[in-house]
Amino acid sequence: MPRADSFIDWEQVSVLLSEALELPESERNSWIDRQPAISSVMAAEVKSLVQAHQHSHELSERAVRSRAEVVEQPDHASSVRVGPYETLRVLGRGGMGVVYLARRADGEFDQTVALKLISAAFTGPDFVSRFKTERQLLAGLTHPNITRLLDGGVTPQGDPYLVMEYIDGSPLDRYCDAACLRIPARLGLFLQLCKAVDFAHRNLILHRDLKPSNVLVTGDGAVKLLDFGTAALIPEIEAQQVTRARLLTPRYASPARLRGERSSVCDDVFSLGVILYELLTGAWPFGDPDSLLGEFKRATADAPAAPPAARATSQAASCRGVPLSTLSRELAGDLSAIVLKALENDPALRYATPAALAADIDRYLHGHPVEARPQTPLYRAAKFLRRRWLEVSAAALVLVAISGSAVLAARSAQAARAEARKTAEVNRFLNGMLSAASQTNFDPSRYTVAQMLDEASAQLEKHPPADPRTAAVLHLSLARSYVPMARFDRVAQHVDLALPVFRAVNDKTDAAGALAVRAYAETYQGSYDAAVAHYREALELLAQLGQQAPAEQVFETKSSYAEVLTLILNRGLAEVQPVYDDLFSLGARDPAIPRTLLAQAMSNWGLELANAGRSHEAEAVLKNALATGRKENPGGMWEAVPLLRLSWLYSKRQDWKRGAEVSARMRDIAARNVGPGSVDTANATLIWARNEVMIGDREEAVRAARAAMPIIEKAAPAPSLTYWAAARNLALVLQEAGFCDEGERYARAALAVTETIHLPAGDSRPAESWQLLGQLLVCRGEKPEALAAFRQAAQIYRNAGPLWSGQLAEVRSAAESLSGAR
Amino acid sequence: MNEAGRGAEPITCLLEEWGSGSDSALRELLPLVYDRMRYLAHAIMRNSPSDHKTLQPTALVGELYLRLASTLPPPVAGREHFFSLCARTMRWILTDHARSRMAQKRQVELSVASPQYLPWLGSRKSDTVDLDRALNRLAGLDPRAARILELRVYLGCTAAETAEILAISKPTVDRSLTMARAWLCRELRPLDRAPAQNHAES
Repeated sequence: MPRADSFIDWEQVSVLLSEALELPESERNSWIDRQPAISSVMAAEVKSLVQAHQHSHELSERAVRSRAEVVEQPDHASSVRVGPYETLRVLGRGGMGVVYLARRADGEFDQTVALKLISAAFTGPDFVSRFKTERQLLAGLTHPNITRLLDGGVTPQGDPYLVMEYIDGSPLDRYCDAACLRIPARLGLFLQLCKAVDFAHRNLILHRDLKPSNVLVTGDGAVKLLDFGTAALIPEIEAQQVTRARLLTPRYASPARLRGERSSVCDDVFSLGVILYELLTGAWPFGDPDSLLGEFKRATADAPAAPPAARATSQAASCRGVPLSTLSRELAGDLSAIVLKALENDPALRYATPAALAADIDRYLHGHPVEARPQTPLYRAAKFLRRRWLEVSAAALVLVAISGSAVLAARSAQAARAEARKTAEVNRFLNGMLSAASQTNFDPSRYTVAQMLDEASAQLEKHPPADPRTAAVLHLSLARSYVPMARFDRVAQHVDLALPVFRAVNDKTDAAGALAVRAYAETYQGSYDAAVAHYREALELLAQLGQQAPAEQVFETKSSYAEVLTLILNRGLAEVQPVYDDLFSLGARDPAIPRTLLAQAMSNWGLELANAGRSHEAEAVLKNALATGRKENPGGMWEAVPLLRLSWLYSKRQDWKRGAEVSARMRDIAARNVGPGSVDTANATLIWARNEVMIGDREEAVRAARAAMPIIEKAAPAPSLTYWAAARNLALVLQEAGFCDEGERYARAALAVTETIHLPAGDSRPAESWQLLGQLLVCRGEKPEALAAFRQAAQIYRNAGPLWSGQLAEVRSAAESLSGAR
Repeated sequence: MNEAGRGAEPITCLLEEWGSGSDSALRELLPLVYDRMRYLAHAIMRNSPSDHKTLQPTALVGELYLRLASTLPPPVAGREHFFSLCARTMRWILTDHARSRMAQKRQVELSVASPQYLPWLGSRKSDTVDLDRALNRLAGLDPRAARILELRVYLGCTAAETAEILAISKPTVDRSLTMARAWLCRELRPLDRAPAQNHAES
């Protein structure tokens, strides 16, 4: 039915409607009629909407009523038999089922218990078996502050149930408020809670759903923690169907938990922090607990907790038996530092365990200095930087702000030493940020990161900090940041500004760092001899420091040095073996050296062995590399390196089956760590397809390889070495599957790359490209052209040295068979 | 400098999550919205008469990710853009799904989200698709009211959140919502014009 909708000012309608609805129902229409300067169409519209509003209201009430009737239906009749238990009454209903007060029906023990019946609807196929093992684990958890799990089982209908000690008490928060407990008394109860959680942690059990309603206080003031059982039993349910809103309590969850990451001790510490905050202030630390935006900010670790003193109200104060001014004073200072440390968004800054949190509270109660220190300006700047990272365009300003606070910190006499360390930390942090951004998303033509660095350089030049050492640290930091952007002129420029300062003040650690950066850049620029010399100089400086040299830096520098020697300069085994031996003994001696770093060095050594023809030793070393790194970070992106080397090794042996296995793993690792649409995943997919097409599902291999190529073309367009490798793999897959025309196109594209970009002398890739093209031309039946291509390949392989003699023989025999056939 | 080495440093770990560009930013942002959407989807499904759910929350999550990943220009241009896009995407998914179920003459169990807000919606098979059409009409009359309703209904935003997202005052949002809700009721449950339908519904 037509309405004069288009002539209506809807803004005005909404104002009139809201005003009309303020009035009693009977007066609304006459009020609308009395409004001056509105058309009759408008008045009719508002009246019609008033009526619609009432109708909507009625419909809503009706709908809510009918729904409530369904919800209120009891799940079970008055008394139910559950296993050997008989229910007495309902204690509560939760997301997963009902909790009853119950007792043994067989009269074996005269004890009332709490029985939690979990609806089978929430359980997955493996639930019952998991449930049984978990139950045994939990039954061993005996602590005065933890309710004991007494029994458990599965009903004939398939509903699992848990039987727990029944506690007659009230929830922690309500207990404190009802008794108007003062802060020290509240802290006393909280300490009991920390001890209970810590005990469970030491038994390798996380609670994962800590909240005041899970903490009961009995009449004689003993804290009893509930529900260790179910929280531990629900992971697969969570994944399956029950929503977070019903199972997890986001109000007390850490950022990592909100992001759905695996739980750790840190997450329980965070939840304890929220509980403590609420006990102290009566308020939630992050604003409005129901806000989506708030949740979003918390999960991205962008929501710092408000200082507790700021959230104290007079109502909260009277509930804690003191005037507001007293409460505010109590909550400022040490107590504030403690609760905020427990609520740090970065788990590394939080208390490591509930015991550590408890110890600090204990110190506070005894008037000792606490470990949670107030935050310094520099520390805050680092946090600010992390929060603002997504707003890349603003980051240039942030960098300037950092140099500002670095100066400030350096000037402050009292903080000099500790702050210098932190300055370095901030800079490392900044480096990491920039290099991380450029790895996966690097596009030299896009302005953001590059422009931001240029801006920072200019600022540093225009307003150099008074302290030359601070300036040098910032220059080194900028040099590091320019490396992944391939701006080697800038790297050199900043290193040149930093290095003399470090030398002048005899700061060997930073001088070695600067030298290593320069060497790294030189490697990329092809000045290998200079790179080797600078790495040696850096290692020499570190050696002079002896035990004082940071082990990780030594390892990393030596590792990069070894990489240049092996991967680029192809120095013989005899020359590099001592370097690798050194690295491995360093790694074995010092557990502080990350295992993944050690694994990478092992991978390079493995490659070296493979190149020397010691294929079986190489395989063992690479497998060992995987085992070593997995101790620290199983499934991490680092695995891609040893897996890549293994896949290369297997393809040399033409062991396609193992090649397909390791490359499939590599693909899954990349997909999980950097996403299914990433270049790394696409590369791994192409390698996998290259293996799979030889022995497995040919069509699937071709399909996957074709699908992966556009990702490469977009992210690393020709001419790039990434493109070269991808085009080559795709061409090989297509050749094997008989798509010779399409394959030839990619073989030519690969060849074009090697002819466009600068490769070190003696690089084998042009030869490999010619060989590939020759193979595809054979596949197409273009024999004379193929012969010419093989001859080109042979010539380059000949100059590439003995390493490539196998390939040389291969193309020679291919060429011979062609000329023979002609 | 060293790839694997970085993984070990706690600060850098955080950075790698944060700083590796739009792709991973998206990966961090989305799970939150998924959770919200999963919650909404459950709310809808709980109200549905059928025991046979065809669009599971996990599937919804997957579909949302795919659609957003293919639509989003990295980096997302601000919060407003991101949330509006999520709401719009949720609307597409739910509506498409309902439409295809109707075309197959099968049970439509998904209706709209946010049942607390429009509890009378979802009782009819065609509600999801009708709501989509009505929202299109509303967008032609008062685009802002339509966007507000979209955030409210498909993303479950509160009035305060909607105000923050769209950078307008909360009273404006309240007024627009009141009007939009009455307007919607008149469109989808006309009172005087077809009284027979009201009986059919209850």
